[in-house]
Amino acid sequence: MSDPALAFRQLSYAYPDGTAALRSVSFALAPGERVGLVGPNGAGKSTLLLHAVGLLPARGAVLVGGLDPDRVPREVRQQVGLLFQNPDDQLFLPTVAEDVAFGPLNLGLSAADVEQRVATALAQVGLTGLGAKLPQHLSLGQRRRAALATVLAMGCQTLVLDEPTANLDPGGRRQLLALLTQLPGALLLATHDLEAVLQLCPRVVVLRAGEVVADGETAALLADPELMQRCELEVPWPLRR
Amino acid sequence: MSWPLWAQLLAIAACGAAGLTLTRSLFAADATRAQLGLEVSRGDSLLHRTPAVCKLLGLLALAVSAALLPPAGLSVPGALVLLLLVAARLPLRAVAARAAELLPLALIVAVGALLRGDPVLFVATLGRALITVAAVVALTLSTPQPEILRAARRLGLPAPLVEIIALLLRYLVVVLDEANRLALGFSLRAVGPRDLRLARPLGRVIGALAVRSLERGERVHQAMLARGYDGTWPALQRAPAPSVAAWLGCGLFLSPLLAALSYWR
Repeated sequence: MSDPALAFRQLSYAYPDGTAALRSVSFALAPGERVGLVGPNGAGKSTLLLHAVGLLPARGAVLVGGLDPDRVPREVRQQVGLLFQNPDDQLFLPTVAEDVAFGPLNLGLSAADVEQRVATALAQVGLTGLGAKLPQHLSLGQRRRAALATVLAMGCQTLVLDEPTANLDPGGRRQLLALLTQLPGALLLATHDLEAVLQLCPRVVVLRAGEVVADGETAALLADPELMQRCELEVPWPLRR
Repeated sequence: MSWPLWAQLLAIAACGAAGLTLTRSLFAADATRAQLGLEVSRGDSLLHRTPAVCKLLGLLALAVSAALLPPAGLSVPGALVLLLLVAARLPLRAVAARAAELLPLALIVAVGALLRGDPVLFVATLGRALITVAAVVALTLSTPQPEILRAARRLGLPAPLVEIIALLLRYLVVVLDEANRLALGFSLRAVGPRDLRLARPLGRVIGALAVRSLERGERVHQAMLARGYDGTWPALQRAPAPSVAAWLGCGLFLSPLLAALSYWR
């Protein structure tokens, strides 16, 4: 059997002030599998995503395609792309195109390859022709898509996304979900948007106070009113009887 | 001739008030991006089309000549800048607004000459500042930021410096938006008397802004690491080399510089 695209094994993490953020989290994504990560605010979703690319020191293990992010961060970051919740944290260069090119240039690709990747990524997110724009001149929805383009241009097999639909207008959300549906790789989607999870991910992991409280089929778990209430979530509309 | 003490104090107070107004306007809830010189006028004049490399060199030449020429010679760079502003049909209101933001600083410097009883030097200092400010405004109003940065790289400004300026320009807007939100939240609830008692909570607001900016810096760094950043930036794009015609146009701005140099020889 091939290595999982992304695996967390007994992963624990405490913030420097001692607050436990993750307690012995274990689950894995098969290559190409789409998994939703849901839970109340402060459950540890964003912290878990930072671990997926080795941005926080891990107690326990994180494995990306069998590789340890602490040991080979460069290789891991070629395999896993992380989309931050706030696009302004991700877009830091003067123009959108330069920002999308940042990752591929770090990979050491040739100028022609980089240009090709930038064009493809911008086309994927529907921002063709806006490469010369300054990030601050884009709407939030456009910035979110530009941030996604910066991750797509890395050519990662696995994407971990932090609240990609937050603050988007319904049209922008629909376009984003349509795009995510088309992407072939594995996907870990941390969000409060349970309808999006229902639409995109056959499987969901429920996190509460840093612990995995449920892991299973999305439609079954999200339809469980007792579980949803315990985790300060709501049964999404399509599943209500 | 020296000024009486009361006049000196008055002048210093006026400069202080001007400085305060400037600072306030930067942090006021309605501070717009245009005030900070972050927007570019759309236009298709010769100035808009001139390569940024030439414009940057021209600006440098103008600024140096404005600083070196004797008061009587300032009319040459002054006329050149005025010619530029008019020929490029830049919105003069925007030019005036930006100049007004920067001039209080010049006033603070110039008032020293006035206090020493040298009105000619006072006017000359203000004139030098005005010429330089107007030239800067002509550059920033006619050139998109990324082009200025690429031109700076082309002219050999060290990469780390250009990177710092690029980050500064990018996040100035973001931090300003954050400051506006904080200021709005503050003013909506600061309904009591508006006096010195507000200084303490206002200090906390500024502290909160500093903390949030630091945290943002941390997240930006993480986002860079997540995309394979290893401490070196892949080069920012460099501007292409300008044409001969552009260089010849640029030479026009070197004439006051040459005049200045010959004066000091």
